[in-house]
Amino acid sequence: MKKTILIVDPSDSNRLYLSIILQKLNYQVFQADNGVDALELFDVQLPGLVISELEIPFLSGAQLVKHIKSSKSALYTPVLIVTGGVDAGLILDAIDSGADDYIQKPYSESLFLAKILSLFRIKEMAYDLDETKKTISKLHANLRLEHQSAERIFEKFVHGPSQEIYGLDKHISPVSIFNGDVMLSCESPTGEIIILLGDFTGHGLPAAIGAIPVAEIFYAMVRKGKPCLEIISVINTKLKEILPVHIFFACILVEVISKTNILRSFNAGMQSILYFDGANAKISEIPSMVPPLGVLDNSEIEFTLKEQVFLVEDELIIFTDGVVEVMDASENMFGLKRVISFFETAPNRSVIKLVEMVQDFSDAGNFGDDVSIVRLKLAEISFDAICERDDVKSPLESLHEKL
Amino acid sequence: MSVSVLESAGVVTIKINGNFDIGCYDKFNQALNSYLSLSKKFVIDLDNTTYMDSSALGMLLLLREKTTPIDIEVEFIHVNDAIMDILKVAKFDQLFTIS
Repeated sequence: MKKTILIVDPSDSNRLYLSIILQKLNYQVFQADNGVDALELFDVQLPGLVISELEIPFLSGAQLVKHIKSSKSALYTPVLIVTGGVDAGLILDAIDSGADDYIQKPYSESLFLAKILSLFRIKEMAYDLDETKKTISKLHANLRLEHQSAERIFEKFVHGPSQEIYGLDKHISPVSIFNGDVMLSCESPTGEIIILLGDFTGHGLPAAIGAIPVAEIFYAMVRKGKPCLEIISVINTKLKEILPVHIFFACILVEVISKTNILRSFNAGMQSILYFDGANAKISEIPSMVPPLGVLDNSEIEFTLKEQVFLVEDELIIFTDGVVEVMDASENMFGLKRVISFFETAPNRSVIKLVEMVQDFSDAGNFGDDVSIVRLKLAEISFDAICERDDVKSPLESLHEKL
Repeated sequence: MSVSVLESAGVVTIKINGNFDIGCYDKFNQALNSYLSLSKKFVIDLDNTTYMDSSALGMLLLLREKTTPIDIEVEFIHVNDAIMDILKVAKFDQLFTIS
């Protein structure tokens, strides 16, 4: 830190006195006896600190302080005002303009030196803070860049092979770049449509990374026409093997067989699946059947699917718990009951209307957690006919092509 | 949110006040590790717990992972309806004895 000081004072004896005591303490001193010279000396020498008499020729103390404080060349230069007068208004003006402290004449030498010491200390803190700020923003910029690259790879893996589906009404909102929520959909060789919606513990990168093996297994096995229970078991084994103990994957898997109007569903640790009986406008729940995946070994757990026949107007609503856990100003949760009553009474049950309702309810006006809501109009479900099966590549294939 | 830990005759009671979430992680983990070898039973007191998120469930899995192999009993007490719902949705009633 530069230990240089500019003294601005019209009195030769005052300047001499201050110079002597400051030079004894190894400060380098510059002197000006008027405002104009002071400005010039300041701009050229950029002293570490300025001591100025309140009343100086050609300039007011406040003007000098303003000039010093608005200088782009120095981050922070403390200014100590010295005054013999007792005009509180003038002192206030100088402080308002940015002066850091003042001392009234006559003053003791030790008090004066203590003020100088303390102002230099504050200056050092300001520079430290600025350094830290620069380091943080540099790190932050690097992190963003890494996130963006990782996000592109992640997107290829997880959502690249996903197929567009008709008859789906959905809302997916990630809290961070990486989403702890996962939604995958794919058609089997025999035309069944399989959808997986899940939620890893937490959100952001640690939560999202687990989605990569889940997506790999899901797309590969659905395309080979493997039965859902086998897909679930393989995903569970993989996650149990790789996830830390405290991270798990709650998920719902749904299989729609359009040819026979059969619906199969599986729920591991998620909020109830809502089944909308179109003829009676009634919701029934398909609750969680087993703990989330990645917690127990396949030998400790029995996976089963619920199978039912659906009618033309029936719908299925699946969502991650971000929706029900939204709080209002008095910390009441939105809750499952409100979700159910929405789907039983809202005219067209559109997901976006539910999202708006939840946002209105929420204290913060938005979601604190990842929120995904998917509504399937069962009879309308079909894959986009334009989407040729051959065009869909596994994430690994597309990644290899890209590299 | 606060976590208080009480040990008496080999029984360690971990009491969660307020929200049971990631903010409890350090204290919970510390209690678990420092009392693991000395205790025969962990009691999780949820009397004043207002809410529990998935990271809290993750902490319970850590507790289960560490206590199961050495036969330390885990008991939940004062489980209110809201917390019970969360435990039931996650099917943690299949992993722990919860009364």
